[in-house]
Amino acid sequence: MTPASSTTRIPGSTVKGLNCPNCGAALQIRGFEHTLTVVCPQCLSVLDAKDPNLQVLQKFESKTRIAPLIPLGSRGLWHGTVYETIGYQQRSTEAGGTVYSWGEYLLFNPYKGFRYFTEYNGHWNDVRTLRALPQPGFAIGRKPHVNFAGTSYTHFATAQASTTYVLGEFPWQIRRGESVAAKDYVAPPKILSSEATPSETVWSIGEYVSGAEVWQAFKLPGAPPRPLGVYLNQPNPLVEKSKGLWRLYRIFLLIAFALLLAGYVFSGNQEVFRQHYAFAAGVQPEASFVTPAFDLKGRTTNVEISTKTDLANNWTYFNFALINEETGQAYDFGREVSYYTGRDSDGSWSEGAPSDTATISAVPAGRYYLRVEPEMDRNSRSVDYEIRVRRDVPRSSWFWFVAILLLIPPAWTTFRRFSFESQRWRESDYAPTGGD
Amino acid sequence: MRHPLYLLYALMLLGVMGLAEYNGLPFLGARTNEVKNVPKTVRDNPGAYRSIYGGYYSHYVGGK
Amino acid sequence: MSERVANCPNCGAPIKFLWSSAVQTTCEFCHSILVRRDVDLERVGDVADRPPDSSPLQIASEGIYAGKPFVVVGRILYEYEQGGWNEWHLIFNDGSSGWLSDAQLEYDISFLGPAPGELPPAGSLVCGNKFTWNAAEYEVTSLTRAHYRGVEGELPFVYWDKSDVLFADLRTADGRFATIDYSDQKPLLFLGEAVEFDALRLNNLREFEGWK
Repeated sequence: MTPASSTTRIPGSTVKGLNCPNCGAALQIRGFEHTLTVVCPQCLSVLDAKDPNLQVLQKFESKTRIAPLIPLGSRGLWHGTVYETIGYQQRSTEAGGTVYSWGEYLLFNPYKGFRYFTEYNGHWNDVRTLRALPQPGFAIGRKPHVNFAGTSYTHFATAQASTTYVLGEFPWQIRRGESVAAKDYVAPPKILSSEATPSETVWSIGEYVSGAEVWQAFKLPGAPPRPLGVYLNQPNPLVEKSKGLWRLYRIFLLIAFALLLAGYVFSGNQEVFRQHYAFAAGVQPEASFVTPAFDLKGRTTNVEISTKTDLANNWTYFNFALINEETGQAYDFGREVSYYTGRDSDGSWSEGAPSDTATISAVPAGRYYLRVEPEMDRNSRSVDYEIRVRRDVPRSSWFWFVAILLLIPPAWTTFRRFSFESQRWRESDYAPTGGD
Repeated sequence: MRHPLYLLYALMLLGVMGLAEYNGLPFLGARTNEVKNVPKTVRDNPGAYRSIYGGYYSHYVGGK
Repeated sequence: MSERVANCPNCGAPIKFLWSSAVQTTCEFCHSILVRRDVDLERVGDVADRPPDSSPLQIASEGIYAGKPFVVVGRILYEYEQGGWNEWHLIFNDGSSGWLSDAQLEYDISFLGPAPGELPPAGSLVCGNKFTWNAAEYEVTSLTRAHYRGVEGELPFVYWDKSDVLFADLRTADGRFATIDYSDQKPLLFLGEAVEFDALRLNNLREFEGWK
């Protein structure tokens, strides 16, 4: 036997001059001998490509025509291989009274075979037949899962998909109106779909691609249609961003914590004055008094004046003035200390507190004394109290303030991320309002 | 650099916190009126203290 | 691979064997099917006009699988209700024989193996049946009633003019492939895997008009 010549050329179509038997329009076969059915571009009749007479298999009744977004015959470079668009079908499914239609493009390369592009509302997928079998996995929550190649895919929807419009050529017997039970499982950006007919189940695997990539591959004019809503396997654009922001948050929190610690470590927290006093309204002729002088050292920083009383179901109002003995500068403020307790049907309760702390900021170093003037109800019993003055006290409030404010951007992004997901799942069989 | 806005925002907040920590600024400090030119006589006579000295009211205001 | 030259008993054309163990071959000049009996070739039938098909492979195409180079030496063309496919017969550089199935440009490689245990009878199979062979679980994915539509080149057994035959295709979770051939009394099991065109590094392929 002689080997065939090193290369033989397969002609573009086996029969020269193909014409539609229904309307006479010229036909072109792009898929060589793989094409089983071809649709007349003029009268849209479905013809048997394997029949020399191109027997009409199905006639087209409706008036509406659909122009595929990728024109038939277009060639594009996709992942290093040239593909030609040879077929187009529109399929539809019904859910909750609404009909959803999407387009499917059959791409052909005489060596590498077939692949499919699906398009719905501006969302594109690159789909190939899968010749391996996804395995059922554990159901997480209510949703079944299948596993393939180490990835778990979540069931999104099961629906009956019907072919409503066909154009071009197909390597299988296609008819308008035929329908299959389709199940979709997602692991964004990938999707696994199974289509079941009585004789076999076919799996395919798809990956979400942007309209821009499709337009660039096929050098199509204009811009691709803008995507509407969130598609089943559309990757969540906020996952990376949210992860990045939380990572940064952890770093910033650490820095804030370091500042807090530094604040504690380097603060003097020095007690400069402590004294016990007593006061009873109306007893002494003059309620006000001054404390002995004390030194406030170091840089201009805070001063904390705390008042600890033995008040019980009573109040005292303290007028304070922290006065610099040399400069005559005073910091004048008032503090109300009140404390009430009791028991009622719900148990014991308390209101207020018997002690109070006031922190004054930016007090320069110097020699100071306190002027104190307490006020109380004329007829109440006396109050015993202790005044304590500390210089350069640390405080943790700034840390909490910063920690909470820094939380806002990552928390907001996480909210948006989950909002995207709930938008995605709104179209599934698992939508809260009851899909399907 | 990713997330430049967040970085800026964080630097501002941490900057404010750093300054506050350094200056000992309390987060919720007591509201004080700053009174200037308190005379030395208050030391001996605290009852004569008035919380309005110097500044706009550099003269004695109020009752007798 | 020793090359043996013989003459077609029908038309006298020289027949060159690419494979020493070929049992059947075809004469491309007179389209006779020739079966090798010891030294001589016997004409047993005619290749019905082979229908045109668009497999990119052809006799003498070459490629590599699992690190071993192979040459395409023969093929069987099957036809069934939904279409057809090619089974290309491969000979590897170590003389072993394999099959490359081309069904709508989806390629599966398989090798005839000893059946690990009893193979299920044809009538009992339905899609979804599972079998475990060599520690892998195979599931029946398609059952096809097909008949021979044509042969070409060198084949390892006598293969012509057979009526409808049942083929069962099975696949695993990780892309392995098996097919049970019920053409003989004793069903034959072929084991292999699905392969991609690029992985086979094929060359000396057919050319297509309008394609580089």
